[in-house]
Amino acid sequence: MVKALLEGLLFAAGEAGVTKEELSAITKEGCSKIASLLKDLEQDFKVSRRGIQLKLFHNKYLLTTLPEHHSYITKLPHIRDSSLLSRAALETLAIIAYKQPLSKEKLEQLRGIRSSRTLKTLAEKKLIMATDSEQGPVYHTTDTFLNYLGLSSLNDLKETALPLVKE
Amino acid sequence: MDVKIDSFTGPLDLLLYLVEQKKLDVCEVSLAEVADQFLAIIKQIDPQNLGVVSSYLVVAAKLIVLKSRAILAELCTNLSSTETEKYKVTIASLHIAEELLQQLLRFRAYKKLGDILSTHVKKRQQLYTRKPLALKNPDEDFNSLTVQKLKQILAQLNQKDIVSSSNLLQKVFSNTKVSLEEKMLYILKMLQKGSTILFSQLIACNPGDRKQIVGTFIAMLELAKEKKISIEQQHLFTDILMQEL
Repeated sequence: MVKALLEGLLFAAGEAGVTKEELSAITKEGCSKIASLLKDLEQDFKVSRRGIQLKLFHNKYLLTTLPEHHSYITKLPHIRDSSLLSRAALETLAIIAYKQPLSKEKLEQLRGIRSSRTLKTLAEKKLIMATDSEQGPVYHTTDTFLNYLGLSSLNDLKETALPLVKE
Repeated sequence: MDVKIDSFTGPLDLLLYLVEQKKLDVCEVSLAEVADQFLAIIKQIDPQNLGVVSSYLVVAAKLIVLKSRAILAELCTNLSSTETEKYKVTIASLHIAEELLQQLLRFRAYKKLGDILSTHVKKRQQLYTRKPLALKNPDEDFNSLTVQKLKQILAQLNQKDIVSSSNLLQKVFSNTKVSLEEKMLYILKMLQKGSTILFSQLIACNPGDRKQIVGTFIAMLELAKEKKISIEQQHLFTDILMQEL
């Protein structure tokens, strides 16, 4: 049964997640069939009140725990609460997310302060990456960034924030 | 007011805080009003930290300009019209003020966006996933790969003569037999000279000959199985140390 296979594949993929296309290639089922099976699976989890849910982040499907279980899960002896980014890092990430691709100079102009170290931290966490352009290196957000924020695409973010940045 | 400079992400963050503390709108007048406070607070910055000091000073300088302009405007009300004209020119040329204002407004927008990101992150962090089952992550190792390291690896390869193509062709057609007994005796003989020996030392006399290398390797394993020697390898692909037991 393909639905059970999908569940197994999603379990194995873990936090890396897996795209509809990848699932289609593995199971030899069409993408539309996979999409409807995934919708089924998502419903199954909800209807039978399971402790796992199916989520779609950065075009990848993955299984996660439920938000209401968060406070219990952190009580598990070996689970540590994930660390939050510093305010400087969040500020930098926000600017890059909305203005990408963005050079370091332009970023520093917007923040009013040197940002090399913050950029390094964000790059180490793989939330941003640098690519070459005619004007030198420019920074982008990564797929890890979308997963980190739990978004399916950058558009999700742009819509909520458009009224804030008028330029 | 007890304000710690370290809690701000930069001069714009501090400026915005001061304006908002006074419940003022972000406008020229309010910027001029907080100039003194700004100057007082940035005295906390370690002067050694030039990068940080200079970015705060750039903003401080602009604030001083703004404040002078506010004072001038006040004076102008008591001056004759010709004198006022003279000052107005000076005032108008100080477009620095608009620049700072725009910068601050933009910064405020991005700060709000940062808060939005933060709520997304917090929501996401309440959901737990597991590490993928397989540990295949090719890009992880490439990150630590530097030109220096590549050079070092290549040098090692050359030393072992494995990449020498002229040798390679020869080996394909050679059909020498390697005796396991002979190899085991050879290893034991070499070990008697010193108490330990490295695998690379054992194969040093016939570099590039894969049959000899494989033969020596199997002989080493055989000796270890017979508990005649102990073998130890620190990391994957590093040299193997043998010791007589």
